Amino acid sequence: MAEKFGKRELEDVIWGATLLGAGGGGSPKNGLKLLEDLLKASPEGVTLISPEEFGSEEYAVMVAGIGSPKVLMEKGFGPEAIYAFEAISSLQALAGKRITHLYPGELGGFNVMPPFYVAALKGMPVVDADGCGRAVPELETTLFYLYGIPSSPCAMADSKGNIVIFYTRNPMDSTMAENIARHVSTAFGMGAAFATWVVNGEELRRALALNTVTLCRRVGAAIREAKERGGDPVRAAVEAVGGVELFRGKVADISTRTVEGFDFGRFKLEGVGGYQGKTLTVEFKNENMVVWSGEGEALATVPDLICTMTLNGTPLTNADMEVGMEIAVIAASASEKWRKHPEGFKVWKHILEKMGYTGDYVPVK
Amino acid sequence: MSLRIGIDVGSTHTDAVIVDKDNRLIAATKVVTSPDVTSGVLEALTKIVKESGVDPSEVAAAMFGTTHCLNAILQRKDLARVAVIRIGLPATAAVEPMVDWPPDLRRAVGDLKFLVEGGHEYTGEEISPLNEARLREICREVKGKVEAVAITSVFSPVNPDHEVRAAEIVREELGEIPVTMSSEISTLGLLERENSAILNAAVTFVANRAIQAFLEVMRSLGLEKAKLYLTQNDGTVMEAKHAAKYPIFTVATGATNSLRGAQMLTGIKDAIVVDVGGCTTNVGMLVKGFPRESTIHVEIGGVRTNFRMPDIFSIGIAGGSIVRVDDGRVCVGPESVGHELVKCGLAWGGNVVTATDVALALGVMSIEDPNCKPELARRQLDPELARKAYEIIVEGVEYAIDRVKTRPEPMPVILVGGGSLMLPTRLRGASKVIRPEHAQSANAIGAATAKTGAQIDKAYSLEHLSREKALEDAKISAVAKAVEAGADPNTVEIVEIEEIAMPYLPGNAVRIRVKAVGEIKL
Amino acid sequence: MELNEQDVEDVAVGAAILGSGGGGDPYLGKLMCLQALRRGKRIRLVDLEEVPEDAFIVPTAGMGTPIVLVEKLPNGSEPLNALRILEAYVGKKAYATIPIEAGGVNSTIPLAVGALADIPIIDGDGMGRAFPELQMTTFFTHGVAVSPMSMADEKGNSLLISALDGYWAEKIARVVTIKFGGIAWVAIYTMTGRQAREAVIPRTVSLALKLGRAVREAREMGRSPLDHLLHVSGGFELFTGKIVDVARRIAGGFTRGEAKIEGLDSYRNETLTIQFQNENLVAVKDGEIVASVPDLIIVLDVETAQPITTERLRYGQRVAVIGMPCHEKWRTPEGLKVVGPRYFGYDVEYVPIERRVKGGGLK
Repeated sequence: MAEKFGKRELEDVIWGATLLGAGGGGSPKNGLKLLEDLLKASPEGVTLISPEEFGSEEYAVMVAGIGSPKVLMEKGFGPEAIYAFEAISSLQALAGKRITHLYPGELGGFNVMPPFYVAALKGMPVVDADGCGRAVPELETTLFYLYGIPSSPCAMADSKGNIVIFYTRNPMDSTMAENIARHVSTAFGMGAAFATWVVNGEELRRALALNTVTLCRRVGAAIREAKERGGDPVRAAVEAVGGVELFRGKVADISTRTVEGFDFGRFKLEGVGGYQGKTLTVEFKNENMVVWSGEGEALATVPDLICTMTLNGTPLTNADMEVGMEIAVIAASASEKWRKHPEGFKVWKHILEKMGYTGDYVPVK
Repeated sequence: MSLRIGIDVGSTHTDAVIVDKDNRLIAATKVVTSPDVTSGVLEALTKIVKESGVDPSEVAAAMFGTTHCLNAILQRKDLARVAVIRIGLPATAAVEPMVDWPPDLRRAVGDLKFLVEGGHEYTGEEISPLNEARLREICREVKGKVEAVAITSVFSPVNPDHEVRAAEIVREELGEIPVTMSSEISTLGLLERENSAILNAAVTFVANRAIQAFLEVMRSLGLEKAKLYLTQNDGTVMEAKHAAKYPIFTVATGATNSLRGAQMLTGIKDAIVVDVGGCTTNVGMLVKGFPRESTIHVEIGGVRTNFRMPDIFSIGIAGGSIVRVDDGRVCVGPESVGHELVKCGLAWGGNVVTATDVALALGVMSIEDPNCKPELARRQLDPELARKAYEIIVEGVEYAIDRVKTRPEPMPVILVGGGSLMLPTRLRGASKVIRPEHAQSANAIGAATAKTGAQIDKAYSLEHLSREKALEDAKISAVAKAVEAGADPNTVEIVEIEEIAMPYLPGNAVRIRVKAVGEIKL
Repeated sequence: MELNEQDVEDVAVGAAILGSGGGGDPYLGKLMCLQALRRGKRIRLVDLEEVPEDAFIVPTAGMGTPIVLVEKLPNGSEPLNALRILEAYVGKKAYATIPIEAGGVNSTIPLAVGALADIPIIDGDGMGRAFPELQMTTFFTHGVAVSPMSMADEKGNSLLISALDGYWAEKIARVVTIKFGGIAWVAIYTMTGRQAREAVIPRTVSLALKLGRAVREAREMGRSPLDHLLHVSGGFELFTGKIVDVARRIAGGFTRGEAKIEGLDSYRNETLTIQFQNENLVAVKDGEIVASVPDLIIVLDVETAQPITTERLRYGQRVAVIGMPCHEKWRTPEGLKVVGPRYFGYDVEYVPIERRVKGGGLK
């Protein structure tokens, strides 16, 4: 059912997406800033349509930011997304595909927003779906990769209007695409947008995580309403995502290290309240990958979501986390598209192994 | 066992010497170089052993500087058919192996070329995984059709893994066939390195045959206890089994032996060496006791190569050069009577005016040969012609000296070679001109007194490796290779390190070349 | 006109001469052409006059690090991919390609591209010689945009850049080249036939052919290649002598240097100094400039007339230094701003070589 998402709805989406970003997905501060610009251009907001309403002969594209979050913060974001979108649209038009819709590539406090921004400026609808059902660290850890949606061609742009469109020899070679994209983004001063993964209705329903924008909104609204009532926002969040509360504790330590050019991190919590005396450790690569109990037991792994929020109701990314904060860790099942696919866990293994986890998938109970 | 025999094949004469453990000359002899090279070598060896009267069991080593491999390439004879395997697809397909080779040389090595997926980027990462299945297919295809294999992989001087693996597979499929890996032959520059590897593979048969022939005669002369060495392009020697793997390193030994011989005879480590032969005069430079090497690619037999070769400037003026008057102009060479000098030269009763005749007529040299009569030359030569011809000879040599110098300052010049007696003791560009005793055996002496050595030339990315580690790796590799070539590990030292920064390559790349030299294991 | 194997060899020699001491080795492009010819492809040169006004012209070149270029040779499909992706983006098929530079490594590569893509090559280029920087083309000075440009690697990945200006295009291209392993094959400076008529320096491929052929034929006939070359090129003999000193230093990532030549024969007792940065920049005789960039200053082996690049200059070489006038397009104020002596740091007015060498011709 088509719905107009205005200021209130999109704010809720941003906070819900931050939680479902599982530690990554970009900063909600940047997301809110982009929302401000969006509303300037289109005060009534953006139309969201359901996956079923999106036709098999219609085409949607995703737009996302790439680069350094700090640069994003300083430089802002906006024109990049428009240029990237326009570039991929003209290209696909030449191939006979007219792009009329947008959707998020992943869920995250910032990264859920670029397609909405473009949609507002272009007067197009956004489809209630996304490419991961969460935020992810690599192009190979996406549902696109699992379900065979090619990342080539990909259009990139900076805020000035410099445009790069690239084709990889193997359209499914996301590693190459990612490499090229990162290199080009350095030429673009570490702040750029990219647009790719064009899908029609059939492909979208087959491959993407469905109804996730509305899920983000529900989660964001639940947290907000709990706070407004003076209730427990953590409990509200757990219910809204249909997950389990794993822990509440104070952030005792956050450390990062670089292994083979990748930034890995780890944070440790010391239990508060009912968790007093216990500890919890989470390993992340941008997003949270695996969580260990104090006894060394793996409580949850990717692709499931390991989410964090402060005890007083602010969803957190790892970048925003600070020592001393009191936070809750919530585990939620990943989209069934992950769990149904035979390689749904396998594509994450190379990251887990570098973190010292060689075990199997631990589903959220 | 302390004696060493040195034999050097020149274009006109094959020289042999015996030296003792203090590098003192015990005996020297000379025979005419035979067309097949081998007979002349065996004749010289037999002659020196018999004439010197030494006890064969006292001979520890025999060093041969031979032109077998060079001749095979130049004459396109006795070359092995080579399976040329290049690893680098999808890259490199636009320029096949041997594309600008002279057609006759390409035919002589069999013109069998194969491209395979694999190879590396300049960072050392793979371009593609090595296509082992295709390699096995290729082996099956060439079985029985080739006598050697040359393997070249893109950026193998940075990462030779694919060459090593490919060589393993080739041996599994084709058994004991000579396999050349380009990374062991030369450095960056795919086509030149590939060509060098192909030529190396192509002459393995010839080299082996020569080595066997030498071993045969050594046995027949009672020298079976002596170790066999071949001299290499950089003035060192390598054991026979090493030479059998890297025969291409022997193609320029004539020039380097004369340079090393000059060094041995005079003790001077930095000088210009003028080697006057029968047909050509070769001029090179000694730097710190070793021949200066060329920094640009060298063409051999019409093919571009880049393995290290001595930097020699040659002119077609030598002892046997024919003097004539062309259109009023006096010319000396490049035609030469070679070893026929003692038959055709004016001073021997012949009717060809040679450079030697000119020198004899002018009285600037004398030859100890009862059959040589300078008066014959003087009588038949117009003094003005003689004077002009001599001027041309000297100017030619002075020009060559100038071409070899890198700076205008005068340098010591050492004269060696059979024809060197005809040159004056003053030459432009020379701070002094030295004519050592035994100059006409300098080549063989250079061979006999040579050390063993090896060079490596590899590229390193300093992104993940410190400069110190890279240097250490290079040094260790060079020392190991020198030992493999036959050096006594206790005596091996690094004699040269060259670091060439490659600033245009991101990732902080550097090329390191190390030369290690040691005494032969007696 | 169509080029055969001998022509390709001659063009490579001529291109090395036009390289004015720099530009890189035309060898690789030559080999690509030879292989293409042997596979039955054709190298067709077309005159600028014959190009229709609305034709889509796509110059092609290789860019990247020379060390990688001589190691990771191309596979032949890269230039085609670069061409195709550009054609798809712009929506037009390429009518012809053309070299960006007449001298140096990229002088012969477009000949191979034309052969492989089965399109003709315009007899002309954007420099008339070799220059070190991408914007030093008559395309640029005549307002032809660098982008859209396309790039391709040997693995089949390709990329299109639509940049605001040349500065951005080069910045992005350089980063991508590194990602592509140090070498990329590009299609760049696209233009229409009409633009080409204005911006292209005509007949430079056939000039290279003429020069290379002159050197070869003279050698085959036992005549002086140098004399024959001078005769055919309309160039001026500036000096002959022996190199007595070559000094090089690295400044700002470039190799700058100076070669001192002591005169021989009719130039006895005179000295010529050449200053270079990749290409030869100025020739100074006894304190006076006798030739400067953008005119071509060419150092040749005095016997064989083979060109000697600045990196090969050494003590002891006997050389002849000749000068050739650059194309008049470079003599305009816009042209001189980009490639005049001042750009290279010489505070002198440019004086065309014909005027400097009074009387000109052979000495």
